[in-house]
Amino acid sequence: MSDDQHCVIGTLSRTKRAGEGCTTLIFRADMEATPGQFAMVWLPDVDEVPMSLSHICDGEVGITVKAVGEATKALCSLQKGDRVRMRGPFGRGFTVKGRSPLIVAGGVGSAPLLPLAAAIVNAGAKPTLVIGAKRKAEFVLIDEFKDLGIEILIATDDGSAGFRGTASRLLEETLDAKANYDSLYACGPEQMLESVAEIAKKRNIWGQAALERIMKCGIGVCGSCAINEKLVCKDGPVFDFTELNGLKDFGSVKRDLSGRARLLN
Amino acid sequence: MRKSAPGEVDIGVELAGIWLRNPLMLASGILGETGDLLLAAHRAGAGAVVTKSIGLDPRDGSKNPTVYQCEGGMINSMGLPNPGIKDFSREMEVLEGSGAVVIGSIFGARSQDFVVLAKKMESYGASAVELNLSCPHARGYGAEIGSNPATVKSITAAVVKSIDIPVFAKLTPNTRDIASLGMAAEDGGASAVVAINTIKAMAIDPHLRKPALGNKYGGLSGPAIKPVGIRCVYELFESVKIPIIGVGGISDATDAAEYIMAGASALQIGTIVQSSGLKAFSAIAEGLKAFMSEEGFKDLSHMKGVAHE
Repeated sequence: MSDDQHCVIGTLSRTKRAGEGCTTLIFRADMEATPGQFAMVWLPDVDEVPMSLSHICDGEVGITVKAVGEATKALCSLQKGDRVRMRGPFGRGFTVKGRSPLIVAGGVGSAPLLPLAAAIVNAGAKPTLVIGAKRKAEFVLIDEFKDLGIEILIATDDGSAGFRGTASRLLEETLDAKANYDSLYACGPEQMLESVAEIAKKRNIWGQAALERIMKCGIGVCGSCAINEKLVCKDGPVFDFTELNGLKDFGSVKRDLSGRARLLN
Repeated sequence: MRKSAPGEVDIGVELAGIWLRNPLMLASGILGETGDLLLAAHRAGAGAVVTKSIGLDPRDGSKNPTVYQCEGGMINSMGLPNPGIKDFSREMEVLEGSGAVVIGSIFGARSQDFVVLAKKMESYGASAVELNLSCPHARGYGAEIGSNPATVKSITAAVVKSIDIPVFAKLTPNTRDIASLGMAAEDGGASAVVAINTIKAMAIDPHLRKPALGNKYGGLSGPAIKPVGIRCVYELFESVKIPIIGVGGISDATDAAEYIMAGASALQIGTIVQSSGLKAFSAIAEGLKAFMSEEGFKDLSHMKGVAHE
């Protein structure tokens, strides 16, 4: 196994709680990536899963995992010094653009947006984060966004904190109140992304969103992550809203492990 | 040497009565799980597109990791994931009226499975069916049944008898004698043989001390297997009269020319799509025309099998 085959060993150096049921795992790994890219993370005898990189730093990469299934629970229970294999980084990441970008995060969709926000700050621009969750306890990586010193607007479905309603509703209100936002980034549940894409189109704001689909090969051959003629692993996971608005399956169809088309909700 | 102007070179080919604008087909298992992706391959210039292998019922396939990139190619153990023949009708509908030549790849455990699947593929508008008698990493299917000439012959014969479109048999190289498998398919009435499928392989992660694929075993594809594919096509050409579709590690025009000179009438392209994307089709087609022009071949029939002369 050689490094030029996009395969590295990650050694867990530390973990950090990232929200309710969510853990950030930071690995020592020789991987250079751009925000929005992902890695296929393999735990032998368990599974290999696609993970957005939530932390990108010299000699380190991090993932933020919500413990929901077998693989994610196993990842969250890793101990310092444990090793995983990481294939990647794969896919197309975000393009940093705009003087005053708005970032919209829903649930664990915060993960790829954190290094993006950091990159935007580093580029000298001032991003604003709109972050949504069902309830206050479910915000993901909110402390890390706060550490960047950026403006944060919060929304909860139950009104337990901030705006009562969805992140996309809060986004609309934010755009209504102040018109100088010049780019829009989003990651989260696909219904949210669909709303944000609609808003971007209506208001003619350039932007991008990171998508999620079942991934097997991760390198553009198996087709399991197809969304119409696009491959999320290779053409994405980050797409321009203009691309997404042209895809029939965006916001409506996902495929299961067998490739059967399933309606989203 | 007589040169032909590139404009005079014709790379169209008639294969089992089907006209292909060029000999480069999308190999089964590469992107062919959805109608949209098959259509994209057609629009990118593929002469024909072969679907992912479809079985009777939906199947999730093997657990990840299912692909591992290694020197000279990649090893996959997808494990025949597919939506099942019933649901696949909606993918085939996407291709209706597109002008794409669609070849339906099917797999089963016994003749009767293949017959049912072939009839469905025919009813969905496939131009031909390709029998997957060669997947090296799915228990009870593929190479496990396709390594036996008698089984190859009986499955092929059963399918040929039940449909009116051509039947291609895709053969495994994981055998002592691929020529006998080819002859069995020919005896069974196949219109063409496809060679080769992937070579059974394994990689081990030395740091994690485990086989690098969830299924442990997989199939090696890509440039590493091209010499094996060339040898198999060469042997088949000496043993069967039906056309041979060459596949295995074709990355550029000279690879394509090698297979044609070994005796291939048409070709399938797979692993190169990983690094080059679907533009590999037009790149290889243009390269092949340029090569043929330079070398004085005005069409494929003049180049086919010349290595045997």
